[in-house]
Amino acid sequence: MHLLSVRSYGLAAFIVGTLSCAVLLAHMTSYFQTESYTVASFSTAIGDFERHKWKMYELADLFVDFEAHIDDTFTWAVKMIYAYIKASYTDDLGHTHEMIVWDRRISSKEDATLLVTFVNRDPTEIYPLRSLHVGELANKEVQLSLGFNVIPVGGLLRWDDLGTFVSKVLPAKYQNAATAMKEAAGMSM
Amino acid sequence: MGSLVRKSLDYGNTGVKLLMIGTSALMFWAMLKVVTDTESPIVVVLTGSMEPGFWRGDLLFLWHQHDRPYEIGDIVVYKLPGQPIPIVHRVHQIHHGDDGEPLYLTKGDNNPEADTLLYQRTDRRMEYLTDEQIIGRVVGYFPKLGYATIALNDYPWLKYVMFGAFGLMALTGND
Repeated sequence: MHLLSVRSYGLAAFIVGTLSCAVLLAHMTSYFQTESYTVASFSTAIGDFERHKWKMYELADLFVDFEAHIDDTFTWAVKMIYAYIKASYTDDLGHTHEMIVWDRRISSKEDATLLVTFVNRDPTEIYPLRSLHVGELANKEVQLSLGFNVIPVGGLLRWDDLGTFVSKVLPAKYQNAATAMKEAAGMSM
Repeated sequence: MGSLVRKSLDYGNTGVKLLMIGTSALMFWAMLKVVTDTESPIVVVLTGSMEPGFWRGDLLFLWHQHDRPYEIGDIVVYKLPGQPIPIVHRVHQIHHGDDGEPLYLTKGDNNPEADTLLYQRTDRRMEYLTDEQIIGRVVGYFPKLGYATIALNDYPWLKYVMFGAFGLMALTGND
């Protein structure tokens, strides 16, 4: 008859050992897997920008349509893939401003085909393309890139940035919404 | 008389062993802090704001690399002034103030909104985080291993049961 302490230690060691082995296995096998991100299409339009109605910054209208396949990256060792589109611009002082304008949490292989169209023009939108101050967005070049954060079932996290897909220059002054919609209707690369 | 002395020595021996375990754990923790350059190299996820990536009880490993600034999409742990519990969320916006200092806006993957309201609970004018408030970047994680911490927080009486059981085992165990 073993003492309670011996049994407790044994149980704790078994749980920690099993979890450690699973995490180690998941991490080790990730080196044999090849990441595969296929972006079939990526088109966008940045129609207009305006000053926020009551806050001291500017918002730009963004229209994006893209198709990407990341099925092969979603293996047994992957728990979730966080996909996001990053927008960035550089202000007159040379500082780069970056923000996520779209994201999706993918937690199964079935969801790993992305057919996405989104319009990001509502001031209450949680992912706006915005400036820090007023007077910052005019004539600025906005770059859009696609990134992924792979969260495994255990072990080290991984980030993959596919680089800039689209680069657009914003108008020199505020336009009205009708012009913006017209430009958006003819989405282009 | 001899058996009493022997028993006292056994108790002393057990006490020294417990002390050594305690100090070793503290030394290991201090070493981790130095290597990772963060005040909390390991944190436990306490809420479901990052689900389904991280669940309550997952153990996260942090790293603070001075030569690598925080980037969009990074998962960071930050601590607001006056708040004892660190928060694990993702960097959604990075701006730069007039002095060039980076300003960060974070959001939990499972939350409907960014963390602005969370910041403003401590300071009504606060809109962004600065480098000072960020403890580190999450580089790895271990599932479920921190759940004991959550159980001890949710059910404080478990602490007394656990310490009592450990004390009893230390005093009565002879193997």
